[in-house]
Amino acid sequence: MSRFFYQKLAINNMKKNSKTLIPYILACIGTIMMFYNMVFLVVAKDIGSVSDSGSVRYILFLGAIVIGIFSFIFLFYTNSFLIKRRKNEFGLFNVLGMEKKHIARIMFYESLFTALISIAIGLIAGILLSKLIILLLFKLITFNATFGFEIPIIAVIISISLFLGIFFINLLYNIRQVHLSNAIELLKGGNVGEKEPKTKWLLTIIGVLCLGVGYYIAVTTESPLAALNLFFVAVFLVIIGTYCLFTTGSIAVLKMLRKNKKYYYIPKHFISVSSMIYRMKQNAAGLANICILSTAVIVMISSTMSLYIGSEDAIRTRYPSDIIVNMNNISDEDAEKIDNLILSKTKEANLTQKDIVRYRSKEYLCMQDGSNFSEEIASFGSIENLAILGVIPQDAFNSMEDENVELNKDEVLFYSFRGNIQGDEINLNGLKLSVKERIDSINSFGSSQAASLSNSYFIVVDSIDSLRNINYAMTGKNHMENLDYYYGFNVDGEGQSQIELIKSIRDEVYSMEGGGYVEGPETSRDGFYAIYGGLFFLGVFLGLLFIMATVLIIYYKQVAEGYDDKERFEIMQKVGMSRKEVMKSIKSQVVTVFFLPLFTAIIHIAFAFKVIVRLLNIFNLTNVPLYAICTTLTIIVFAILYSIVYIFTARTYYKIVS
Amino acid sequence: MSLLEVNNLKKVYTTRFGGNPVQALTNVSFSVEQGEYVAIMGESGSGKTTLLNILASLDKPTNGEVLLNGENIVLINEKEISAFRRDNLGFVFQDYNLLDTFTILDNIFLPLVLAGKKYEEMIAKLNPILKILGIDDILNKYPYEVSGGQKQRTAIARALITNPKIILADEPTGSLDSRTSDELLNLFDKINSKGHTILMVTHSLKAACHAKRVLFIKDGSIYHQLYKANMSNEEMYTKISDTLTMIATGGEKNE
Repeated sequence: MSRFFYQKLAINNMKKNSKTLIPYILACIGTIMMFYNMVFLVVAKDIGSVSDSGSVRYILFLGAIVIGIFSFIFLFYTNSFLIKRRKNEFGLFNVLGMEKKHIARIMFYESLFTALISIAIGLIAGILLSKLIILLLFKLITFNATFGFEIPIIAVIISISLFLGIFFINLLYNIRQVHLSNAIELLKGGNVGEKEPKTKWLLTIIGVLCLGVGYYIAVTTESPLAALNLFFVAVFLVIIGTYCLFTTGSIAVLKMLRKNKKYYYIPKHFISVSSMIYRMKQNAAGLANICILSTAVIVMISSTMSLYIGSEDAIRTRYPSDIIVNMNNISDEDAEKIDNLILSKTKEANLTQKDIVRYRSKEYLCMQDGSNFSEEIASFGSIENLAILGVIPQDAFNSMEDENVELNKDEVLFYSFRGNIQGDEINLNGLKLSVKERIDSINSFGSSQAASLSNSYFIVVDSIDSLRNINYAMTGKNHMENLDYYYGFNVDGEGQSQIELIKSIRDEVYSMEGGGYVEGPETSRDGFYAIYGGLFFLGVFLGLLFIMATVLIIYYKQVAEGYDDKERFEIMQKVGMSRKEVMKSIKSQVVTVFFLPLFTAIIHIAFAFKVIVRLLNIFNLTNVPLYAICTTLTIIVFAILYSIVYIFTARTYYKIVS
Repeated sequence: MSLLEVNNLKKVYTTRFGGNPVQALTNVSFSVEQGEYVAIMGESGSGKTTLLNILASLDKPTNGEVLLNGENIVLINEKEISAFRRDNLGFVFQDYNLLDTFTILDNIFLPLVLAGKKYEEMIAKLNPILKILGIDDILNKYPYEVSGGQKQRTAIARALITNPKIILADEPTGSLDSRTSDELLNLFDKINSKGHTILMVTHSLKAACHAKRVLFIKDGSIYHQLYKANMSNEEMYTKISDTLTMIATGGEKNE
């Protein structure tokens, strides 16, 4: 036997299978490139100089893990598809007298060459691309880029070991596949007699239930905190529902159509319904994958994009005033001190105060049950019942709102930032108060609490004594601590002067008794951009990866479909269907099959819209139209991209069929 | 007028790279009467399949004409050819050509559905055929669930259901064991006795001796023909066998 026999054979095999192997290698290169870049960003020295580098690194680190896991699943799936189609090739070797260990040897070389090519090209391309990627990230997080080029060895090592591992596992899987079957089976491997899929009602019902409950949760969840809790439950349910319905629901529906004789025995329906049953059987899992990936891409890109675009809004929502001093439990004297302090510091900085919002109140964290409020924090599960109740005496309210409210004892004015109560009475741990009036807006608050995640209410009481009573009811303590103090104002100065003013006030205030903080949008802007930019970057990055996976799955589906349809296509022509009719029928089926996932993805997104809006609230994004626009835009771009991919791969399909 | 008339059929295949043209049919002429049962015999490469493909309008001849009820099928254009095939011809192939995505019943219905017939009409047409073929109990099964003989019966049912002018069979017993072949050939006799015209291409002696007339094709032209007349199957068998030996050894034509 000549030297390099196995190597040559392996290379020959690879050439012969280039139609399916090249896309696989391209996918490997793509994933390696992306994985390297993500790891590179996690360890890159340049990131260290970004403000809030910790959270940026953390986001990137999560991204690297997601890409790593995804690469594994994706490449494993693709590989198993390839090996299934190649079984009869190995069967032939086996029949021609090659032992399984020889076949394993060929497979080893094939894997080795594939791995070497992919890793080498993937890494080189990744390294070349890394500078561009980091510049893009810096642009997104509004950080001025540094110059220089680095190749962190650790990133290279991690990438190589991960992908060598993946290739090795794939090789083991392939060898096992060949090992498990005998020559005859291997020869037939490509076309094991297709059985008609059975209708699995149980799974269909489970699918409908999962999807229904998932949708229900997504649509009915009101509070952002609950959304945070339930979102992943809903996602999980919808994923299960999607898989069940794609695999069994589609077949159940098609079979029902087939039972309807009047509908079924029409030329158009006859061919498509019966073929679709088989198509769905073979493709359901792949299509469900495409559907979920598409949904993930659209959700990720649209939400991170709207977060990023809405950064300024978010910052404003989070910090309604340029400078905010918020103190807990301070005495009247101290409050006055703070007033003076702020005045003098502002004067020192040559700035003028505007739009002052100032009030003293007492806030209680409580559990809301209808119109009952109690101090018990029951359990984490009932986090959505959490409510913040602010109480303010009428004198303070009158002076800040410039009103003349006269309340009696046991009467309150009621204002809600978020959430609602029914009726005209509220019950504070047994203390009943009647709502004299509901206030639509409180001018001087502006939107100071719009960013709150839980239900949040404000009540105005007649006197400090009433406040004492409430305090007693809510805490059980006779002694009431001092009130809180909120002092927010705008100044006419630029960003830098605001930052300095905040710092100078902060230095003084933090030395006083009682807790509190001094902050403003300017001091946090970099942090916001670092996180939102980082998230957007990650969203686009993962989006690209998922799109690549989607493209590849579609391509392989088309190739597989093509080979299966070839024979069917010939028979139909013999039995008296014109070429044109066959083409038309096949085309409509293929279009249905490939656009079903996209269509389903869009339905998922429509249902998820509300809950995602709630989640974005947590990130201080309240601009719903912005998110709607981003989502629509992402869907349109994605749909166009999807169609292009479809047209492109459909060509391969028609080439195979005819 | 004969049901099928084939006049001076010629077919030349040219290979792609300008190699020597291959003459599959040199000059074939014959006719088939209504209700006849004709077998065409010949060795591999003799041009049987080319002939059948042309008769089936799956292929066009280089020269000559094929008249079915006086209509030249060579001239039918591409648009109408499928409908023509569906309405006038029934096919039975060696490898059955059943669609595995359809039940046996739906496979039988396929040409009718394609022709846009109503369900009730299809059922009405199905019943008499089922009586002949005896496949009532497998109608709801799938092709991969039934035996070869049953598959071929299904293919015959599919060919019969449109009530075609002529049934074209290409090695119908080619994939069947001897017992099933016998059953199938008896079935062909039965169908023929009901008035269906059958044209069968085969190189099985046993299949050919069921036919009322056997045409022998060699090197692209009709070489000889035998009428069964009142001979028994066994006598016919010997006769065909002798003829084949003669063709193979290059003896003189008799008769």
